[in-house]
Amino acid sequence: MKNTLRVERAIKNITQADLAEAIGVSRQTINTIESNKYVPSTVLALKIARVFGKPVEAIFELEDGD
Amino acid sequence: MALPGFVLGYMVVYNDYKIPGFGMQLREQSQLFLPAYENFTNELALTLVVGGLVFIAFSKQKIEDELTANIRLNALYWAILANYAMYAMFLITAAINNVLQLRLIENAIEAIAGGFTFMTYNLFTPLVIFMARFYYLLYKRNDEYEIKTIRFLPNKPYRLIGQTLSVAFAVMIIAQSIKREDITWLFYTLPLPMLIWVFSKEKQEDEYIGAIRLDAMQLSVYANYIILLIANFAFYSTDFLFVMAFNFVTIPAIFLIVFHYRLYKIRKSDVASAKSNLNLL
Repeated sequence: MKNTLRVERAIKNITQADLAEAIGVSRQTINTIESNKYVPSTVLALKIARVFGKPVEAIFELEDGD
Repeated sequence: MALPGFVLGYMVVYNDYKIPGFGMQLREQSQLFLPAYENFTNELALTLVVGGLVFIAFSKQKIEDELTANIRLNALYWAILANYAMYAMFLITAAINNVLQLRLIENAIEAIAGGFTFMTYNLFTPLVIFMARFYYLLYKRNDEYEIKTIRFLPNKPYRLIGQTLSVAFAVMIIAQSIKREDITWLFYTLPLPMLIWVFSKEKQEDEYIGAIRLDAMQLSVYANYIILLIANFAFYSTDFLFVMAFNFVTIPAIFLIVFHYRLYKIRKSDVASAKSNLNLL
């Protein structure tokens, strides 16, 4: 699974730490998700999408082979 | 709490240290294996070590989220595997030694596991390995966590091998102990087929079953240490040797029971909901 988290953050101009605090996780967790190493739970994905005011599919996308 | 425990434990095991006066008269007269006077120094040391390590291992991170929780359970599963891999290596060296009687290996075994020290180590090595692994995954990189998935053995043929051998060993142990024959070696090898069982996939292994696995493993480790601490105070001297030997199988045994019970419950409710869907149509 890939995501556009980094781009969305740039558009909204918030840091990883800001995002982490908004959804109550650690900054390293955000970073691990951004580098496509961790697939967040549905709850976490929905929370992230809510911060950016977009549907989940606009941020997270299935890749070939998932 | 763990540190003074380790120091005290080290003194008990290697220097046969006893806190003066920290004991009591348990029986009127000494019998073989049942000494009248029991010193509690070793019980105290074990309680401190295990208690301290459990607190360190299972206290939350400053920011505990789903990923750190996930890494924690992953590290735990990995630690159990690593612990028993070490144990298997130890058994194999001991077996080779039995056949060849090499002086060198014998000395090595004496050094790391003279007498019952290996059994004593096994009481807390899973926790130590777990902590090393957990903090390695968390702090290896500065900025992100290290994600490592656990590998499992394929369902075929390992599940069947593990189950057959575990049951066969268990039956043999019960049969032989009824006949009062020596079961030591059988008992020491029993955890290994059980581990194959624990680490073989379900026919349809998915994300949810993976989550149940991790959950069951955490529960079995908790249960194991609760049992150990209770046993620590309930059994002394020779009796505690049985507890230590028993401790080799408690984690895989509790895991298998919890894991399969959960799966059974899910499958039962699954059948029910499948039926109700048909009814709705």
